[in-house]
Amino acid sequence: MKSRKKYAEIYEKIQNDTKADLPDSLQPAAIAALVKNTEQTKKKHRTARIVSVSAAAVFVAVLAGVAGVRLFNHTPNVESPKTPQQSVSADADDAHLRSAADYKEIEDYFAALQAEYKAQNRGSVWENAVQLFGAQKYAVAEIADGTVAESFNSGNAVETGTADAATGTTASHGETNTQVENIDEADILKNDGKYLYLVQHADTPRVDILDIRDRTNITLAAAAQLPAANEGERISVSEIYVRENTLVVLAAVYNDAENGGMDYARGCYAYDVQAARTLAAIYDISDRSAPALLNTYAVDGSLLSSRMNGDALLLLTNYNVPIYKDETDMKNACVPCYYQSGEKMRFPVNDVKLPENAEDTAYLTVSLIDTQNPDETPAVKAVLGGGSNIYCNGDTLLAARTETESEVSEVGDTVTYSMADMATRLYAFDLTDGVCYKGSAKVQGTVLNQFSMDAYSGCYRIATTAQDGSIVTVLNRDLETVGVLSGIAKGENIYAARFMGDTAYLVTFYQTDPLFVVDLSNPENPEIKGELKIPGFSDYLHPYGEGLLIGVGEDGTESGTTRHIKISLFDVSDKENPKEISKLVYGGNSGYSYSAAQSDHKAYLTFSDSGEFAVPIYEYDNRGTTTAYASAVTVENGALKITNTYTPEKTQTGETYSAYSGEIQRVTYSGDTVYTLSDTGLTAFDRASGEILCTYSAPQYEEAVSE
Amino acid sequence: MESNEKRLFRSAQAGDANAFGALYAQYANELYRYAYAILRDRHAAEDAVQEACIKVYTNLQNIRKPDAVKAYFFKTLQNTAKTLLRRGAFTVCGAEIPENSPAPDNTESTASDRTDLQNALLRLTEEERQIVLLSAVAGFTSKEIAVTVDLTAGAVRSKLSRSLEKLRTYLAEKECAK
Repeated sequence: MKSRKKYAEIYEKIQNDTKADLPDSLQPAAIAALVKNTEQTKKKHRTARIVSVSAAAVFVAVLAGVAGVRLFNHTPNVESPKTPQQSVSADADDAHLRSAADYKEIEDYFAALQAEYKAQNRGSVWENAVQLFGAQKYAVAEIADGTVAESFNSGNAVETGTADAATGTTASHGETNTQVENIDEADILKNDGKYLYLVQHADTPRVDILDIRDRTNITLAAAAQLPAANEGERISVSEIYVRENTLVVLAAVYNDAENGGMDYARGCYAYDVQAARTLAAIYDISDRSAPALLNTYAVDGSLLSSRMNGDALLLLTNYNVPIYKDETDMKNACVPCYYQSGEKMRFPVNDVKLPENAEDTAYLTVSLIDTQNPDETPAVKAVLGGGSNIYCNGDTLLAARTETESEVSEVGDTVTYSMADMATRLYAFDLTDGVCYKGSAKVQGTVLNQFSMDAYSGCYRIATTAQDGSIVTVLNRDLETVGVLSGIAKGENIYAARFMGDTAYLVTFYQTDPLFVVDLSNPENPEIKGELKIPGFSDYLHPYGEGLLIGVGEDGTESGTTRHIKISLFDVSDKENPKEISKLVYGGNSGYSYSAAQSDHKAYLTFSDSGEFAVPIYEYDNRGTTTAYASAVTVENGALKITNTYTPEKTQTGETYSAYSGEIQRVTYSGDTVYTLSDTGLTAFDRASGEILCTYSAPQYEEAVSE
Repeated sequence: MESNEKRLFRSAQAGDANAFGALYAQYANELYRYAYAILRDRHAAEDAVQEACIKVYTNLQNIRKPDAVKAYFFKTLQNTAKTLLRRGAFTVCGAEIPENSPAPDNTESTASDRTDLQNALLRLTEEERQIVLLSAVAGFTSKEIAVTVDLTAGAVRSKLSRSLEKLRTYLAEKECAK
């Protein structure tokens, strides 16, 4: 595995540190003696033997369609399922996913699951967990019918002009690097040309609104404070959107009381901390010096992802039903809820989708909110089983979930799957009128990230890595597979993917980096048109003009990678003969270097008024010197050329240890000024000369320095 | 999995304790060192491994594929160690320190690499630490780790590189300071 080579020193350190000779009590013979008299539990037949008959019947109804062997050995008598309430959303109900008939069905499913877990005696986890969980904080209000949300216009181009009515400037400025043009993605830093908006993780969660109109002096216009947390809870800002005069802040709400909280005696959190809810706070920032909170919307679960299309906010969370709570509490918590205008509302029952072989305790929740009318009922959808990677192009939402097909072994709180059979379940939703479930499909292999999926010209495309090589699958609007190309680069994993119209670019890697050019112009026959084998690999691919592709990744030799970040320029104008026509390697001959852009596409900046782009660079030489800077690059005469380097000052704290790496996370610009953001704050540079103009420190960093 | 191992597995499933011992022997060292890496206490690590072995043996029937055994051992061990940690059975705290917090006040002289490494590991989240230790101590491939922690192999790889990078940066700065 490549990490192993790259970090040989660290591995050695860890191995030396954990060297321990096997004590006598753990010698194989001793263990054999230990288990000799232990009774093995017999193979399980998962009959719902503990629960009442009616619940069992419902359990069966929910799970209808599962191959009999795993669950039941006989055909049970099944109560006919209740007639579903009239569906007001145009959801496609298919064999795989269907709406719950009523809330009781969902409650009974979870009650049965809980009873089973109890019977399997998931031991100490259960005991400890049950002790801690407290009472519900809200009363649950149920919706009588499935209220349909207003349809949100989609496909409206987002205005990108930065014209300010008062001053009339229209200088070019940096924007978040998104996968799909005009579909905004949330980020820790936003820029509208006149102001920078920065997420802060100081003790009080807030978003700083920074006035950058005077390039020599960044000032704090105002800080948008998040609403106070309820007792026992705390709020942490994740990322934000800025659209004209609206600021949308996404934050995680942690319920420390439920999570076991901070164990001060031991100085650590007693349990894994998961966000109980995700909050979207909407502010009117027409007056940048006085942000006004308009409304908040919250939904159960921790933030998975989000998008903004015009004024519509798409919010996705993963919600784990707390199956270890006591029965009443769990019943109240087994359907995801959203929180609006002080009320906790269950998702409408029609909008809760259950898969055919449900065994899950987690939901993917989808909320579509109109930020200009935040009081209106949102359009929501919940899918039991969820998803972890998403793709959105405004009209369509794809959610990918890793599924394992093979036998499941469960003991206590451990579950093991055989790795050979990992597949991806793809759920498709239409967003043109609320959130409508369109159908799902299953493809072999697992996706890497959002760039592994795409929707184009009536088809969905997805790139996955499977045991026998990578696969590109093309599906039609009904989620039926129309074309597949499999067995790409067997033994390697996908490191980067980018779909661009009729072509897909894939980077796979084991020792060398094949860049594959896949032709998708005939959906029924995706085929590899060209292949380029070079050392190293790319983590991120970015289109650059006609027939050119930028790759940000790692440099390599025939025997592996060199641990230095490399920017490649690929000429893909001749699909059958892709070439690397230029490259830049950073960091010299010793140590290592990398860029945040390798793992976070939002760290990549395009200068829209010139042919330049920029990425952050972090270098470490073997003598222990680290350097962090942003590198601006252009393409001239078919070659990459560094046009500028922006290096923030190395901050001296006076302490030998610094909690801050100085690593640059974001680069942006406004007109003639370039800004870099690191964990110590912002630095403004003259764009042409690279000279430092001024800085703005992160509040918590200031505190540390002053101590 | 080689046929010999499959045979051992089937025998162990059928109740042959010695076969189980032989199966366990393949990862005995890694299991102990992994437990030690988490708990930092030899006795606690012993207890954890023993308890995990009993659990695995008890539930061997429910594992259908012999290939799953290794991940199963480590996942069970992870959970057992976690439980021991929660119970505060011993004084060492193996939980994470939030990122960006000031360094713990180490009044003891800590010139050795070992304490620095431990501090570095503690700065990772639990999941990151688990991934790093499974790779470095237990010798897992990213696919094997993926199965054990319920992530995709791609997610494991990127988390692993990020975590190793964090460790390296931290340790590099510590080296600088000396």
